[in-house]
Amino acid sequence: MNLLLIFDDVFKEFKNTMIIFGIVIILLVFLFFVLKNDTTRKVMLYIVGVLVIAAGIYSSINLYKEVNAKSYINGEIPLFSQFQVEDFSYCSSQIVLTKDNNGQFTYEVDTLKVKDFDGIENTYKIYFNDKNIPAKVNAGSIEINCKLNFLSTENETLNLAPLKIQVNFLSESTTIKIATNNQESANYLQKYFLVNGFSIKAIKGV
Amino acid sequence: MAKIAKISFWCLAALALVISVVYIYYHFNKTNYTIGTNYLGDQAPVDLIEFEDKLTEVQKNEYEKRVLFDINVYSNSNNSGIELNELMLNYFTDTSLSTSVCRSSGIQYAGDLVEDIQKLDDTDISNIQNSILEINNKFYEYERTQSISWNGGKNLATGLSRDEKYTIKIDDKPYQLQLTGSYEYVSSKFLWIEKKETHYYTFLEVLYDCVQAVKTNSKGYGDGYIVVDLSKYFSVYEFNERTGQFREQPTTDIVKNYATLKFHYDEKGASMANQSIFGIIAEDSKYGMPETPVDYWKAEFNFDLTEDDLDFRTSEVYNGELAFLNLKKIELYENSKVNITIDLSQKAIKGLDISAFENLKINSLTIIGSNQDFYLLENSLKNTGLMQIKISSGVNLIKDNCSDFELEEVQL
Repeated sequence: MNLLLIFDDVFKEFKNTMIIFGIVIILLVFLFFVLKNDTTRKVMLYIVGVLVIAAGIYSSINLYKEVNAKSYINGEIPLFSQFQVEDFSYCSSQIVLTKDNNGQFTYEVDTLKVKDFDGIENTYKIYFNDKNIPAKVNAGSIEINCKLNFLSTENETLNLAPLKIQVNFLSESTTIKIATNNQESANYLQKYFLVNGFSIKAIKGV
Repeated sequence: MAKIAKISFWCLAALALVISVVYIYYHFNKTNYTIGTNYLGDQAPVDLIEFEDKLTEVQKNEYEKRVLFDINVYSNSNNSGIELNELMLNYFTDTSLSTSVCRSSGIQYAGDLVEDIQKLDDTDISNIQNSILEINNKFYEYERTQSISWNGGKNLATGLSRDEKYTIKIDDKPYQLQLTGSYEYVSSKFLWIEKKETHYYTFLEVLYDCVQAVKTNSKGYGDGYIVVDLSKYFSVYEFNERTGQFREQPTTDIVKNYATLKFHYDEKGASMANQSIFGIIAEDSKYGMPETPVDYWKAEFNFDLTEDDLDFRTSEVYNGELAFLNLKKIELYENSKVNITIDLSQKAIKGLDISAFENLKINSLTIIGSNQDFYLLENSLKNTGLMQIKISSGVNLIKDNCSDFELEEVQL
């Protein structure tokens, strides 16, 4: 335990400190009257005096701090940009495709609502893992249909994995669904996401 | 001289007494109060812009959207794995707050944290001891730098500890954060005398509360941010740039520390290591991975195109439509391979226009139709890498000024 914590324990609250000072002073004053020896009584009196001065120093420091205290604010929390985003962008390195009730291997997630996505009024460039790729942009959704051809070191196809990404921009949130249709393709895609992560981004007006 | 010293001493004591009385009166009778508020939000490194070009979108996102705490909860509501609860504190190792000194430390609980902690309320000591053992067996600690996580044991890890002060960023300036919170409780009582003991909060308790906050969030499953009040747990120290020292913040009556939690809350259970924010579950980076792992040299994008994806030009010469892809679309398929299937029964398509697919990497081209001529105009398939063209019976392929490549015709 560091010194600060010990200090915290003993002098945690002003009340505790003053109680300690008070008890010690009362005890010494009591001893002052009980003891008969003059020298001892003088020593007691001076100890009380020293303690009163110590209490005075402690009080003046705290009085100065309390009188001069000002409220302050450090930092900010950009609430708006976190709860509702202007442009759509989603990244994750935690993609795991699991078998759903329809026998497909999928990953689904609900993420932040995107403000004013409109596939009719605006044009969007869609980026999947830093690559601008063709996508079907509907009024309130994006659909990507492609295949990932996983090649061996001999440039032969190991697996041709169909990949469907569906993004729906809903009133409260944005839902993202990634799907493929068999276990082997899911394994290869899993490996791909493990290495590269998953990112999808829609940039407006280009 | 001794008398003067004596008088001075007692004058000083009298003055001290007056100050103490004034202070006690002021402290207990003041009506105005002060609040110090710390918002512990974004922890993106201050020099990230210099590295943006060198990072992938996923790596950039990890730094850009870095907040104080990441919370990851797999509730396992559908029994598809195990329940996983994780907390990761993102901080810096020095006051430069730069990308190279980003570090994270975190804890992982691979089980039902809420249920297991509640077992500690049992009255039977042996049950409590078993529960503590069970909790310890499901509890793991990790460190993370530059997207790689590990368990550093006792000597290599910073870890999440009450003794550590973590350098964080507020308003682009360095501050330090320390878990200092505690509370007193009555451990025993004799007549009216109470024996009080102090409980010091641990990071497991911080995780417990944060998991509770995530599990009760009104939005439900998914990704999001919540701002929690961590004043009970943490103290913040500010950095004095002039002296180069960290010090306690100015005195205020109330100190509030609000922190942003970025959370992922999942209905599923954790079944694979990469579902963890550390990429490790139970100190196993291969947790749940296929027994025969797959690997590859390169992943290449393939797209299937039909006549609906193509552009057309009406030709009076050929009395119909000539298909092509505009340059913008061809750019989209750069570094990808495409499979094109054109069904001639859908539109009055007469062939491929001049430079229709020039420079597009074509894997396969299939023309489906019956008793029709199909024209390949000049440069229509130039530099496409296409070796053969598949045509259905009845389609008559005519190369019109298109002699710059050899194509094998294959009947479907």
